[in-house]
Amino acid sequence: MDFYEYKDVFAVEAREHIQSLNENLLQFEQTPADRELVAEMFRAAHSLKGMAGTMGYTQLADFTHHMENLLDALRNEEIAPSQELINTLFDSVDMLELILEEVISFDTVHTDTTAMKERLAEILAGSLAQPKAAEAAEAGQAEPIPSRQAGEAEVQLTLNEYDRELLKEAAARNYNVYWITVIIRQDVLMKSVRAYTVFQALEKLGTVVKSEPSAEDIDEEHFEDRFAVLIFTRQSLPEVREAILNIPEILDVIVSEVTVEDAESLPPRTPEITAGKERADQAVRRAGDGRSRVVEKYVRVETERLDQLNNLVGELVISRTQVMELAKQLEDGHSRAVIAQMDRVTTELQYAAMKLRMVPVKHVFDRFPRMVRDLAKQAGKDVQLQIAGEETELDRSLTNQIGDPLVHLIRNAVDHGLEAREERLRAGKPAEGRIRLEARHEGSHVVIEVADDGRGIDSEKVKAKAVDIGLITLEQAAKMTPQEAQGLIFEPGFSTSEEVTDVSGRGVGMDAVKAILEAMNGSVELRSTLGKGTTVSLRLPLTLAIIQALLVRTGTEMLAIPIQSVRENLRVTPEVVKTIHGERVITLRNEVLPILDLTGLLGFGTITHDGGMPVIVVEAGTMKAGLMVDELLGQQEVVIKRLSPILGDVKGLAGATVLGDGTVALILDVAAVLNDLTAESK
Amino acid sequence: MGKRVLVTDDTAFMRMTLRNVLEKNGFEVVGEAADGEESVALYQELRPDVVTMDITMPKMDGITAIKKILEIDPNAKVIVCSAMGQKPMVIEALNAGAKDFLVKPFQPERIIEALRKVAG
Repeated sequence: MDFYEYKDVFAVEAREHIQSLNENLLQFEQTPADRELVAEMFRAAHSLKGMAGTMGYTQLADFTHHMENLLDALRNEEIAPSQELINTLFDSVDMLELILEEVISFDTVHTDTTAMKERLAEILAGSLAQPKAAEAAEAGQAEPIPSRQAGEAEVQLTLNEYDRELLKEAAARNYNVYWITVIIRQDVLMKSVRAYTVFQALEKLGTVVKSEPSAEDIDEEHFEDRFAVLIFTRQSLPEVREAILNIPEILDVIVSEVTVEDAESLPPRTPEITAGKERADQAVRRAGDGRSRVVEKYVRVETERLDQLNNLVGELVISRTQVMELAKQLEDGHSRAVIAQMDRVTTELQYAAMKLRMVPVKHVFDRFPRMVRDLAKQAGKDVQLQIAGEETELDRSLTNQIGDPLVHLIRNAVDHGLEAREERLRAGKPAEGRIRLEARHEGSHVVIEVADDGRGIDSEKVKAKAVDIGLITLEQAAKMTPQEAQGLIFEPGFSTSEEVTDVSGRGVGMDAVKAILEAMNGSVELRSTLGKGTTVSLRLPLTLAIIQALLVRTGTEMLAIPIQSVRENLRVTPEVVKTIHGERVITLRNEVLPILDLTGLLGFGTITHDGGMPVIVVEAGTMKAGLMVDELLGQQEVVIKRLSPILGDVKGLAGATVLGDGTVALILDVAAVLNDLTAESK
Repeated sequence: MGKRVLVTDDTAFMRMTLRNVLEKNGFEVVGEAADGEESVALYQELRPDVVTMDITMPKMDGITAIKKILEIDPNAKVIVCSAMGQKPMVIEALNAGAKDFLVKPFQPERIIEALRKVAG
C-alpha cells in the first residue's frame, strides 16, 4: 500500500510530536520527579517511530528507536535522570527535527546520525552500570518516612526550598503539619467543585500551603480520583480526618503528619521513586482518555462564545434568505451564480455552527448503568440494561435537560414496569428483566427510547382509574382505543396517587415528563402491550435554534408551522366539511379529521372561502387535525426567536421569526393548539 | 423524627422527584417553593433543618435566596442544586454559604448522602 498520500498528515503530526517532546523535556529539566512527563515523552517517541516505519522512513524510525530505548529505561526507573542525560535528549530532539525536515523535503536522510545514536546508547549503558536509581536514593536518603509508606494510594509529597522554610516556621510555632490525600468517588459530577468544598473545609481548620496537583489543575479537573494538600493547623489528625470524611462523595482520606525532619530528608527536586509506577500507569490511562498533552485535539471554548456564534449565524441565515429573494428578480446569470454559491456556503456554515453545539448523549447515558444497578438492588429485581446509540449527538442544551426525564422513565421501568422475579417466571419470561435505552436519528430528530419487557400497561385499568378520578366520563372511556387510554397517563393529575402507579405500571409525573419534552419542542409517545412491556419514545429536535417551517397566511398574519408536525396539505371544498357533535370534520381516507379555523382560533378574523381552501394536516403526539388557512406560501428555514417576556406565554405560539423580506411571522405551537382542541371536545 | 426539608425548584417535576426520594428515606418535606422569594418566605415561616435550592429560577435566583436565608438564620443549611455546566454558579453559591451541592440529573443516593451529612 502506498502511504505517500498521507505524507502531509504525517508531517503535521510528526512536528506536533517533536514540539511536545521539546515542551516536555523543558519541563522535565525543571521537575525531573515528574514521571508523567517521561511517560509522555516515551509515547511521543514511540508514536513517531511507528509513523516513520509505516511511511517507510527507516532511518528516521531507527533514530527514534534509540531515543525510545533511553526514555523507556528512564520510564521504568532503570536509570536516573541526570543533567548529562537531559542534555543528550535535547540534542537528540534537535537532530530528530533536522532529519524529519529532510525526510519531508527529500524523502531521505542526508545527515549522519551515527554519533548521536552512539551517544544515546552510551548514556543508556553508562547509567545502567551505576547503581539503580532506587538504590542510590535509598543509600543517600534518610530513613523512609513510615507513615508515608503505609498508603500506596497516597499522593507523593515533594517539597521545594520555600516549602521547607515554611515548614520549619510552622513547626517553630507549634502547628501540626499534615499531608492529606483525598480520594473522591469515581462517579462524582463536577470533581473540581467537590475538591473546592474540601479546600473550603480545610481552610476553616488551618492554612492550606500547597496541593498536588496545583490548584489550577484541580480547577481544570486535571486529576484522576485523588489530590493532596499540605495544611498547617492547630487541629489534631483525627479531627482533620473527620472533617473531610464528613464531606459527601469522599471515598477515603489519608492523613500523614509531616515533621521538620521529613522536610530535611526530602531534598528538593529529588526524583520520586516510590510513586513512580503508579504515576506512569495513571499517565497512560490519561492518554487513553484523550487528555494527553501530546496532541491537542480539543480546545475548550466558553459556551457563551458558541452561543454568540450561533446567534450570528442565525442572523446570517435570515440575510441569506433576503438576498435570495432579491436574486429572484435578477436577470444576470453571473450574479445569480455568485449568490447561489453564497447560499451553499451559508448552509454549510449553519450546519458547522450547529455541529459545534452537539454533544453525544453518552454524557447523559453514562451514569445509568450504575443507577439501574442500584435501583434493581433496592427493588430486589434482576435487571439488565442495554444501551445503544450513545454516540448519537444532540444539542448541548437539550442534553442538559433530557437527563431528568430519562432518570424518571428508567426508574419507572425498574420499579413499576418490570415484574418481580417470580411473576416473570410464571409468565414464562426470563427471570432477568430487560431495559433498553436507545438513541437514534430519525430525520431531523433524535429519538431516545426507554423500553422494558415488563408487564405492560392495562388500558382497562387506566380507563377505570381515569373515570374514577373524574378525568373522563364512562361514555368517553367506552369510545377510547387502547392507545388513547394509555395516553391518559400523560394527563396532569392522573398519576399522583401511589396505587395508580401500581395498577398502571407507570406512575408519578408522566405529565411532567411530557411538559419538559414539549418545552424542548419535542414530544413523548408511549406504546405498551399488556404482558409484553412498555416503550416510551422521546422525540427531540436536533437543535433548538433553526427549524424547517411551512409558511402560511391566515387573515393578515403570516404563520410558520414547524414542518415536523405537518403531515400533508390538502385543498378542501366547503361541501366535504361535515359537522359532527358540533365539530367540523372531514373524512380523509376513512379517517375522521377535525378541522380547525386557524384564523378564528388565533383571533385574526374569520376565513371566507368561496372555492377550495388549503388545509394543512398536522400531528402532535397522538393527536391529528386539519388547519384551515388562507394561503400556502411555501417552505423555508426559520430561526426561532423567543417572544418577548413582556408578552409572557402566548398560548398557541412558540415564538416568532423574521422572514426574508423583513416581515415577522409567528411560529405556531402545534401541540398546544391540538391540546386545546381535545380539551374543548371534553 | 426525620429531618425537616424545604425543597426549592421552579419545576414541579424536580420538586416531585426530590419529595419522592426524601420521603422514601425518612425525611419530612415540610414545604415546596417554586422560586427564591417563596423559599425565603417559607424559610422564615417553617424554619426547616435543610433547604435544597435550585440556582436558575424566576423572580429570585437561588444564590440571592441563599444569601437572604443566611441573613435570617446564619446557621441555615442550604444545599445548592445545579445542572451540569453551571460550575461557576455552584462555586458562587458555596461562597455565599451553601453547605454542599447536588448535580442534576439527581442520583438518589447522592441526595440522601448530602442531606444526611449536611443535616448532621
